[in-house]
Amino acid sequence: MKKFQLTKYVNPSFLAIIGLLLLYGTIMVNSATSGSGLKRQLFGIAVGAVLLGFFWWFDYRKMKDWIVPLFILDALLMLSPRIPGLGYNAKGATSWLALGGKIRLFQPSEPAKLVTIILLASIMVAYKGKIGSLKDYLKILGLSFIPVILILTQPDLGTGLVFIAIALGMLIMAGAKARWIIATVVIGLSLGIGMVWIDGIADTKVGHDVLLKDYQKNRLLVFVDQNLDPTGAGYNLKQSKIAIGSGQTTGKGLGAGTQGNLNFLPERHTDFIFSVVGEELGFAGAMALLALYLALLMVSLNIAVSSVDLFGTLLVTGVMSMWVFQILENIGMTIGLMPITGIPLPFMSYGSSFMVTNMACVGVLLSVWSHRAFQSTAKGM
Amino acid sequence: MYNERPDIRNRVIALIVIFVVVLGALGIRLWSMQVINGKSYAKEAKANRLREATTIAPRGRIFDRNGKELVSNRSTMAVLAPATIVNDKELVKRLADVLSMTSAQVIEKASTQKESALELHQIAIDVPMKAVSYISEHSSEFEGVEVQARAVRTYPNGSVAAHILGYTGEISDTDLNSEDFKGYNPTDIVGKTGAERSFESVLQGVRGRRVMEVNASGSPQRVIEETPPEPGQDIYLTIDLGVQKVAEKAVRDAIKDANNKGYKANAGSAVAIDVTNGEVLAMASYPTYNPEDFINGISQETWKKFSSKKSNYPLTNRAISSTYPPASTFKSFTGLTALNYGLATPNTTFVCRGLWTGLGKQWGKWCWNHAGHGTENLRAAMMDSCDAYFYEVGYKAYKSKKESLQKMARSFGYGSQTGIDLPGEVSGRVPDKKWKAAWNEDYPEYKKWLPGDSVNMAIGQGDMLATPLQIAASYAGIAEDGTVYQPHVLKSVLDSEGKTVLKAKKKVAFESEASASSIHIIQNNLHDVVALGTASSAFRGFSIPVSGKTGTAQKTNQDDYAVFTAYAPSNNPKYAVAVVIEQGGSGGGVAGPAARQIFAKLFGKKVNHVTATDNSR
Repeated sequence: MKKFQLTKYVNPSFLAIIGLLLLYGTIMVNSATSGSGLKRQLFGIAVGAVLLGFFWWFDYRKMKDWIVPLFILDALLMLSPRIPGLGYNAKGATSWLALGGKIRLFQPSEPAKLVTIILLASIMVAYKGKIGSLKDYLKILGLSFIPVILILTQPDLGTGLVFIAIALGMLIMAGAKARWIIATVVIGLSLGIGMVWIDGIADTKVGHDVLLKDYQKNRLLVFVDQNLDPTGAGYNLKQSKIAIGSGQTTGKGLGAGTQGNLNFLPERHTDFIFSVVGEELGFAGAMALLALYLALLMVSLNIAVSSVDLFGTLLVTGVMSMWVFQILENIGMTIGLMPITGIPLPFMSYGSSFMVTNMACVGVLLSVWSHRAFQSTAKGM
Repeated sequence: MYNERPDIRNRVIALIVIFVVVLGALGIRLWSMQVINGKSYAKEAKANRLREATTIAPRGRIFDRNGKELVSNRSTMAVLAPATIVNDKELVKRLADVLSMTSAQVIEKASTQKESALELHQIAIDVPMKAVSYISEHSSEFEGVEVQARAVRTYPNGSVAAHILGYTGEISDTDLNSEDFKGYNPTDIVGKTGAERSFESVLQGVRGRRVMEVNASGSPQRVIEETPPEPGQDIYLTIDLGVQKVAEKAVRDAIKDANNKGYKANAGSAVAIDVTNGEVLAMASYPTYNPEDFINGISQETWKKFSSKKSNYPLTNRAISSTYPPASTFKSFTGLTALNYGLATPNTTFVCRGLWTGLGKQWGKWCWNHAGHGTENLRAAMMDSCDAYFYEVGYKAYKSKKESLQKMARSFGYGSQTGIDLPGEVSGRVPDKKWKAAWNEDYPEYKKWLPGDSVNMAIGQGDMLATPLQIAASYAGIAEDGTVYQPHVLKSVLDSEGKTVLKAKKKVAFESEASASSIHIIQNNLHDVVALGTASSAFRGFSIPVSGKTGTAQKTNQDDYAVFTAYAPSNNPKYAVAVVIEQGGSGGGVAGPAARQIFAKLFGKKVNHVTATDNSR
């Protein structure tokens, strides 16, 4: 037996970045909720830490062959809110599991993200890092879309987009040709726009919502014309932009955001936590957060590259893709760069399901890191 | 295993590019919003959270010379709402129901541009207590709606002195844009007429300001900044409430007397001034109005009524804004002209045969007494108000070519504003050569000043016009040996502690042309007019010696206008009074008794309504 070397298991910069992000998020949630959200946030982190420990200790390579059980788990998670008495409807989507339909437990779509990442990695790893034929590409793409379709039953369009982003990121790493991926994005966007357009016509013909719900359409309209309906559909975006813009260079000071404290900002501790950062800590605080995220992604990329196997690399890529898309979508929507959806900001937003899932992802990354150089010893764990 | 690992360098680079582009795009956008455009967002955030409310300063009160309240303030409730209320149709409906208004009216009030976007809009004022308590008790159903105490004008004496006091109302656009009203808000209540208008700058006070922080639903959270309002300053007028009431009653009595005598009288006015300093003690104008009607904005209907001919224009202050031929009251100045410029001496006599033919037989002019007054000197002509005597003087003045009548009239204030501190004063008219030429510019055949013009002017007829105030002021001038003090209604201004900060000073408005000796002669004659002449009937038994002159002005297609003016006591003059009753018939018979009532009150005597007879003109 080799001597146990802690430094081989620990990636200090990665842990430091995660620690800083959690600290940052806790401070902001505390500020946005005037202290009332602190307990639940710390609870989420604590539960997440347990899962983090578990996945760190667990040899990720064992999951490589669990394709069928993972598929079943994924489907169960995403369809479970549809089971009568278990679902809970919030803001138009039945995305919560609840006891007796009342006491909210968690959002199964959050753990489903990690399950999907593991599932897609298992599928893609079989191609040994080279997807040579278009047929293979389409096959993998088709399989990747099963979770997307599952989540759309809730219907949660935003989370669906997260799954697409995960799949595309992993496809890059799995060796899909760049032009296929670009073509996929272009065709996807065109189909999306086309559908919105046809949906509008269909709605007027049928007289009720066909595909998109009214609020979803309004969010898109507001995104296109950001001055539209500032007291109705455009209210959130307008108030969020005012909050962030009025933070100016150095912000109004922690806890001193007027937009937040006077309730102009909706959902300020969850989806719009970044607006609080922008308002209270200004451009400086926003840049500090972006810098932390960039560091997180770079260190994660290093872990991906250091992996002993492609499976590990793909897992890490899936997690990074999830993070980068959520960062883009969440911060983007608060500043009008993206349409508004209910996507939280990694390590920052209040919400335990989301926090626990992210912590578990961190555990997976640490597992990949731990097993990079000493497979023999790692096997014994 | 990992030896099979493909070359992933390009894939890693692709991911790095994606990361950098995503975070870079967010960063650039944040730079533009927070650093470049941060200030304008900061302004929007401020507009979100700050509501500015001005607290209206109570307007200064108005007292009479003895400290009796003429205009005061009473507290009432106003309901205010933010402009954004219009977005909540149900709230608008609820509010409209409580205030007994229609939704459309509420929306109209809430969307006026008069208040700034940050300010609450006044939806209703004088809201009944029942509605106020309903709104307060159900405040959760009326988010953003506020009830505020407001001070509005109240008039303890009703319509008494309405024309002097004037009324208040929301500032007009014209005023708002004028230099005098710099710094006023579009919702400010300002003086529109009368003393309210003249002393606006003193009465107004300074609005207080309160900046509140509100939350997203519009409920106030805390006060950010507060400046208390500075109340307007109180003013004392020279008016004597008691005299004012008597003057108004005297005019009404005179109109009744005239009606009883068969004249169509329906309007009139009276003025009482202190001859020693120009203080106005009373100024009555009939018909009148109640300034209370203007408190919440005058209704369309009432306004229409006030501006119709049928109502006889109750808003007009006839004492300063209407002009009348001074008629025979002007004979004092014709007499002064004669004495001063050597056209006659007190002993010069003239034989009145009823018809005066000084301009030739075909241009004969009747004296009011067609039977003729016989041989008369100046004293007798004044006492009898003999027209023929003064026709002769007028003709002599014409022949002298010096416009001496006009000069004399002007030196007592005729033809120009007295400068009284009330708005709306007109200057009347002293006709002369130049005026006639300009007046008849389009009628060349009438442009020439004729002997008849001077002759008519000599008896205060023709084109001669004066306000009741001018008539009173000119007699005050005779009483004061030729000095006319500027009539004024302001006595003093008090600060909030009740300390006098400004006292009106007496000011000479006109100095007469006439020599002291000529004035003394006229003074004696005026005494005899009241003691023995045309006004003796009105003043029979009056314990104070009065000097005055009756007048009866002719107007085409109307009954004669009754005029009387006098000062008293004759030996040591204190007050001058002028009374004009439109279509009152006779100066001595109708206007004289009215003046007697006013004098009685001025000197603290019992006020009697006497009836008098006088046939002179």
